[in-house]
Amino acid sequence: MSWGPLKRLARQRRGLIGAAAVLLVMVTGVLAPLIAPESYSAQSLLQRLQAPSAAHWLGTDGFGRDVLSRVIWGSRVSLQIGFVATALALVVGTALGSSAAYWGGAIDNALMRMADVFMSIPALFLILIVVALFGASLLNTALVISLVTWAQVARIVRGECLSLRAREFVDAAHALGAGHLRILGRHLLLNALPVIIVQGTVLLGQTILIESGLSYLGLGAQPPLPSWGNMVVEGRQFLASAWWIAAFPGLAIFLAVLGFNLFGDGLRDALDPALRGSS
Amino acid sequence: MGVDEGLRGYVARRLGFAVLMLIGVSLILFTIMRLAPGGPEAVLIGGEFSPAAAAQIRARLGLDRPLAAQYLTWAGAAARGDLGRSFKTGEPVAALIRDRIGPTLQLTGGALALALTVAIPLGVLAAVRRGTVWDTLGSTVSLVGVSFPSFWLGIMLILLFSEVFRILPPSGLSEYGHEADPLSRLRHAILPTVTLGAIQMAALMRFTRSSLLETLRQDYVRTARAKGLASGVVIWRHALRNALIPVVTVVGLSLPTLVGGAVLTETVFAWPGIGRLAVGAVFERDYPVIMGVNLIVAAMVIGANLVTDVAYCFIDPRISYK
Repeated sequence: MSWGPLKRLARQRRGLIGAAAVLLVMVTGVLAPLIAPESYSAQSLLQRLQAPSAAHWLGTDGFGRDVLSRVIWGSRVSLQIGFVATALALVVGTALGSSAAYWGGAIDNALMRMADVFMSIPALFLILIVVALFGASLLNTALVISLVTWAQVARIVRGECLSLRAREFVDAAHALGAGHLRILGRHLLLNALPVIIVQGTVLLGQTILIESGLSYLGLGAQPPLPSWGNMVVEGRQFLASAWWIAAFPGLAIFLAVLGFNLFGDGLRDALDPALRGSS
Repeated sequence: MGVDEGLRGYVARRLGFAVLMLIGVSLILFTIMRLAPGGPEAVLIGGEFSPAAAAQIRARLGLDRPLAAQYLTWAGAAARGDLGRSFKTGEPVAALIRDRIGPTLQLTGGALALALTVAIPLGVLAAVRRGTVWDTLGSTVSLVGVSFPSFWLGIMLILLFSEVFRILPPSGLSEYGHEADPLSRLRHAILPTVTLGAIQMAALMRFTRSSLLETLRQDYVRTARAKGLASGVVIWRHALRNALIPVVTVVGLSLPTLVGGAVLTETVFAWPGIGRLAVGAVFERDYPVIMGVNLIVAAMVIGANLVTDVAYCFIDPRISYK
């Protein structure tokens, strides 16, 4: 890879704003134990439901816990699940999508129909069932989220590989006697990498959204471990008296997802100048 | 006519395929539920129970039979329209779904209609005034829209309109005792519909814009402009019609998201639809209800995609199915 795409990314305001937001969320998640002013579970009944102030920037919740500290710790859950689920979906989706495109015929048909079946069950329904029945651990949650997101990766990678397969350098590789794996890996996947990276960035945002929805239904991270979704649920009952409990974790979700979306858009434009501004 | 016969054959093939997909969906769900540790007996009895009591309940529910036999019995009955009875209440699953599907269709239909009426004009404006402040505004709004968690947007709307201004009700289908009052139902529908519609709106707007931009580059659009047609005529009659074809696809593809979003929206607003029915059934391990709801939802999604594909024939004369 050359520096061209990075320079192009640096020239875009939106992509940069996205990158900054992503960086902020990641640094927050990694450094949570150092930068959180208080513990995420330290309760204090005297400090219940306090409005945002100098002592508690984002106020306190129904147990007197510091909302800012919990928002900071909550980024860990979102990011852990986000990265694991996205990595799984990318690996499975890329392997199946590129195989479908490369071998075509019956294999292509079977794999893509399977993707259709997974895409016709509303994702949240399937995730809800699996998590409720198998239990809500962080790993389970990540696994099922990837169970419903691999299909869209497979479709996009397949489309990209189909168009690459028809190009002359692939014919040339065949003629030179390159094996299946070499053509798949070196010629198709390496050239499809920009598309896969962009897809991964956007998927991270989607995964964080899905995870927050699951937490909202009580199927994500379990209390007292804070996740942005379960903080919003806890805030719901104090909506009339303490709006900050539900409002700030939601803003954190929004900031993280918006960051990944902007960053993904910026990357897409930077990696493929032909597409600039078309989406 | 050959076109009609071709279309009929295509629809017949697609229907056959839809049945296969439904079988696939039901097999996946069945397998997942039976692989899961624990069963409905723990929920049904509650608290401590002896293995004998559990076995008795499993036998009564037919869960002691071989898995293949259980699935075939269920599938045979489902094919005749019998979705079984709820483990918990004993009510027929089909009746449970019938009672709840109306509110869900109202919610999702309203949200989709709202999304389309806002998204298409805004998308057109952003594409036509490309690079201007309208375009920036449009793409900012749509980016923000796809980045919101819908349940949080719903709660913030409740905070604003039900708690602070106190002008709209925060939950339910209507006031108690006013179930038939259309005004009451409308007031209750506003917040959930806006919540569910907002996310769809953002995605549809993004797509309308990019599709129209693509179309505006086509030769026939240039021809139309070169003929001296007014810019409005070119955009609305020549370009938009064609740009809407992929938008129709996206509407079809976004249905699973719409229904999935309905699960959360119904939970936030205590809306008595099939989303909440499904959430409750999952927590109670009510297998027949879980299977029934998911089968109906999958059938709706697959059916809507079929209708979308057939609709192409009428929107786009270049497409024909042979």
